[in-house]
Amino acid sequence: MVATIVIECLVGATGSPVTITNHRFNLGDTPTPGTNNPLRVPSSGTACSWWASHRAAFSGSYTELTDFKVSSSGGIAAAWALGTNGMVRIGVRLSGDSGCPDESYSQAKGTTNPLTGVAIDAVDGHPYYRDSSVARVDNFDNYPASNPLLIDSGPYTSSATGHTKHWVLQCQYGSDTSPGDRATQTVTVTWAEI
Amino acid sequence: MSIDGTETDQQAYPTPITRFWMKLWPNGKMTPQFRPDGSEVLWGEQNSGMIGLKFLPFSTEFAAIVQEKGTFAIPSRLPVVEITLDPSETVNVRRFNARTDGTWYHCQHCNNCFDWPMVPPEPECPQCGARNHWYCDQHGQIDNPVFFKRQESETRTVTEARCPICSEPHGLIRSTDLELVDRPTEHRIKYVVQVPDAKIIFDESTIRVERSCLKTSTTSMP
Repeated sequence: MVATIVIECLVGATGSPVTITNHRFNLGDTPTPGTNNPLRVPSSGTACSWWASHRAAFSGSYTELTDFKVSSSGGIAAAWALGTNGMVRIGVRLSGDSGCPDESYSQAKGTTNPLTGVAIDAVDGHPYYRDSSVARVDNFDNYPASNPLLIDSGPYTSSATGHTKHWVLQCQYGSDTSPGDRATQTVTVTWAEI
Repeated sequence: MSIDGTETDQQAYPTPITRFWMKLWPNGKMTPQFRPDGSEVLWGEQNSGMIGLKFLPFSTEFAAIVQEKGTFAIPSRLPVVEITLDPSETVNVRRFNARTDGTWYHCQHCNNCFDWPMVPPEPECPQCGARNHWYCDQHGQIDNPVFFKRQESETRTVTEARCPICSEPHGLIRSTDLELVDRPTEHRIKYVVQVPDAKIIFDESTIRVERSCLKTSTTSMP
């Protein structure tokens, strides 16, 4: 059989993987909060969800897997009407793969006053992306299918079971975002295989 | 991905493939990606010495045999892609996979699933016209709720949907006629074959040949 790929979300202090096909941004460390820990619109400025760490896990038989990339629809901020400075954010490294290696995993976190997730690039944010000399946090809309973000160049060989580096996403929303239903959205992961 | 959607943990589908490769050797022998019993031969490290490469679609019968061995082979009548090679040439072959996950709306009334790209202004089932509504436990369906911003703390407000008829502030319940649910994972496949003077890119609908000696690419349809 060819390689089988699933998407995993890392949760908890050590990054336990949970298989997902969807992630609801929320104020907690889970991709499936149900109606718990909903996002709260700030009185002013912006607020953030807790960040989400995702990766691709692979198994099966293959000679080589390379070039894992992620892309968005390119229009999430507008479709979700996230308000002033609202966007889905993603951690990007200034050179090389933008994915975060296992040893640099950092559990999502937030504060209660104000009630928000900690921004990826805050002083106490994600250690792999908060240093502006080596990384930045970008608008995920800047990475549509025509310009996907390289997460892990690999290569992974010899039919090894494993996983890629993980990418870190976060929803940022302004005080002028409106309540209500949200448009459907997708995320695409691409890779090369032989 | 969702900020307001229903989530379920699902195992992903295996990656489907629509064609299989076959290496053609100078001695007339061939090495196909799948043996007659459906088991797979990995590409391996040998990228030269061939006189040709073929990419063939699966017949219904062969797809079933391959599927029994765990590979999600899709039978089709796609055209065969045949590339001639000089044995001295090195060829680089990659199958580019794209896997898309996300959400769509599920209509509880007619079981239809659909995308809602913010048009019309509220999600509406294109098949039966169902919409979500606000309900008051005293006044029934409310079409003009009051969205009240309650100051929860100095830095937080909570938006509440309230009944405009009730004299006392009264919260409303949102119906779940339309619910955000996981959409089936979508897979797309594109092959890229790189030989010294050309790159051949093909998928289910297009075969494109990019010549390195030209600044612009040429296109041919199957």
